[in-house]
Amino acid sequence: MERYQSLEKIGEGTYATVFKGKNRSNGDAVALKEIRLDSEEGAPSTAIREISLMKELRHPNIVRLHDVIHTENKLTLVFEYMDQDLKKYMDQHGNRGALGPIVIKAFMYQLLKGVAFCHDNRVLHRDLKPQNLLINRKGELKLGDFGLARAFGIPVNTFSNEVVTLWYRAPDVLLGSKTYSTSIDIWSAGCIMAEMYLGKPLFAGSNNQDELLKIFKVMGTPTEETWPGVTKLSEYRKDFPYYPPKPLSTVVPMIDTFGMDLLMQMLIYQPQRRITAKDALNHVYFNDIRGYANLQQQQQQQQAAAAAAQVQMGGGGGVPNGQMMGQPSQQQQAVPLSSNTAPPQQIVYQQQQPQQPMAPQHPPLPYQVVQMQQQQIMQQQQQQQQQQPQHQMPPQSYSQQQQPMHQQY
Amino acid sequence: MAANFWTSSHCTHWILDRRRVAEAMKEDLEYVNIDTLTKIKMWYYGIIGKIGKRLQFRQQVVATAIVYFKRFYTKNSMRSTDPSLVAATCIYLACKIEECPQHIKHIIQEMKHALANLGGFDYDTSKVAEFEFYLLEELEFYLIVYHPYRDLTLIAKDLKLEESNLQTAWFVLNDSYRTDVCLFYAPHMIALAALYIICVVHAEQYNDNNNNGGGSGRAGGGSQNNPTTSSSSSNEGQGINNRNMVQWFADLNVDIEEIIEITQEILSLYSIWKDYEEEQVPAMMQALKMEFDENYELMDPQLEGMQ
Repeated sequence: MERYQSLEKIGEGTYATVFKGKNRSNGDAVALKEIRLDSEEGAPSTAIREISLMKELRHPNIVRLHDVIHTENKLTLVFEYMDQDLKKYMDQHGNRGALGPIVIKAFMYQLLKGVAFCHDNRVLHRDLKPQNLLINRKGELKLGDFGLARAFGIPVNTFSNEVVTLWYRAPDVLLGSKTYSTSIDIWSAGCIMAEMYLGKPLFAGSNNQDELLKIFKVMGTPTEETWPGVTKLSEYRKDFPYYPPKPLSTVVPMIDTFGMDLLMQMLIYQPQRRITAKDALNHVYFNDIRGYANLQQQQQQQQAAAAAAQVQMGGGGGVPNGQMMGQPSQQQQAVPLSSNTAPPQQIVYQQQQPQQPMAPQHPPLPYQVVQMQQQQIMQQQQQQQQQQPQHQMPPQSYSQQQQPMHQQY
Repeated sequence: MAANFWTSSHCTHWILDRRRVAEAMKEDLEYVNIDTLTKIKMWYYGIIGKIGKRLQFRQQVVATAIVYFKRFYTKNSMRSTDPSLVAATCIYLACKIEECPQHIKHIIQEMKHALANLGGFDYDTSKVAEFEFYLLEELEFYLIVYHPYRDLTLIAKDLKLEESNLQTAWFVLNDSYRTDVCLFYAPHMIALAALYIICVVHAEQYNDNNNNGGGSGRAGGGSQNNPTTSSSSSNEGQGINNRNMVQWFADLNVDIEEIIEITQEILSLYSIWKDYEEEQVPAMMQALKMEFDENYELMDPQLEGMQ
């Protein structure tokens, strides 16, 4: 525990208290999730499940578990620090909670990336909601709180009915289905997408029954025609009030055509027909983000190759490898991202901890948001390429430097 | 987390080196011989299995508990710990991970019942809860375990294996948990070894059309004792009976040597099992403990004087 210093308390979870902390060795901010031990039960099973899954899942859109520390009577999970959750982000940056379409798209893309990775690894999150989606100041979104997640490697018929916060709970679960699968996370993602446009929850039911009625009022009361098999679910009542379906575009009017198409596919009644995370990522709604992501990936690879070449050449003097592959001009290359104040020795340190210099103070720009990791790597590599520090150059802001790069294409 | 074994902690952290396991046994082996130690361990695996049966666990829960038990004893000696406490805690933890939570009292009760003839089980809930933390730490918090059952089911489906053969292979897998193969090999390799064993056991069933064509096309060793060798590659029919299993194994992109090793390890278990009698185990345990006590006194006579 000496490795981490606990600072202020930032939250009270279901079974734990979360503190902001600091890694004493490198000053990195961390989130310390302290789990109280029960002398009768040992470690809570939610905690155990969270630890076991987080130990396996490593993805840029999933909060990283750095360490587990066991002290006298508590267990501390050390997570990477995230500045806030989506709920708070919407309250702070949104217009009455509603976010702009570009930011929403960037968040949805990251959310679905994380979900797709979980599902690829046969993990259901089961509790997706804005409070469990964490955002950092780079505009990265990551899934957190895997306390209710489960591995679905072996089909089990006895899923607990009491998972997923009510507002984001899929109708099949509300109707008593116990054989649900990845589709429940997709329903939640759909609700979250609508909420980002609306600024308020799409279906804010106060109990199980009310939640169902809230859904029916928009999506229409399901029937055997619209949802084959629905009448066989245990919580189905013949006397459900009948509501005709409303066009979703009247409920979430601010959404564009492509976004609406994706949303409708995420909110399909029949679980097996709901779009998968993987297909959702390939939806035309994300075309612009995807194109840019691929492009940056290529660039990154090229740069990595260039950096490797540089290393082979013995740390590389001033050979402008960058120019050979359409990199920013000499002038841009010389932009001292973090070296304007730091002496050369500290550049090395900054390379390992590239967090402050690039943080946009405004709500993140669309493509920055998706490209965070890659940008980090690119910056590091750029710095490596510019080992000859040119302190005289006036520092340019991050966004100025990045902007031309995607306008280029 | 059953999708990608190769990136899992099971693969990256818990496929062990034999030397490490041998190292952990060293201390115990100063007091009992390897066969006795194996039998004592087998007895505890048996206890875990029994409790699993009584509480109607899925096989996977039992398997996970046994793997935890084994992993724990790659870092600790039986002598310096109480295996019954370790076993109880492994069961309790496996239940949490496999999502069939059991009340801690239930497990203690079952443990008391199972150990009635061996000095009982003197731990209360808080002791087990406390030990769970120790266990978690020894497992390095890597708790998701991959098992060969799933692989076997997939292979069986692919081969259209008969139900009875699948059942036998399944039992072989159950038995494999009494060996240490799950510490050294990937689960799909163990599943393949189980399949290999049933091919051998039910040899006559698989090579009715041709006998002993030489098996020259096989990769790796051990082909001589494979009774399924049949040089004619009969592709007609889908069932395992009509299939050239030699060819099937040869076509696999796996290390056949490794399958042979696993097979041999499992078969050697059966030879130990032959002269294993449950009644002897309490005496073995006592021997282990008594020897330990005597030794303790020998090594530190002053301590006794002080008492």
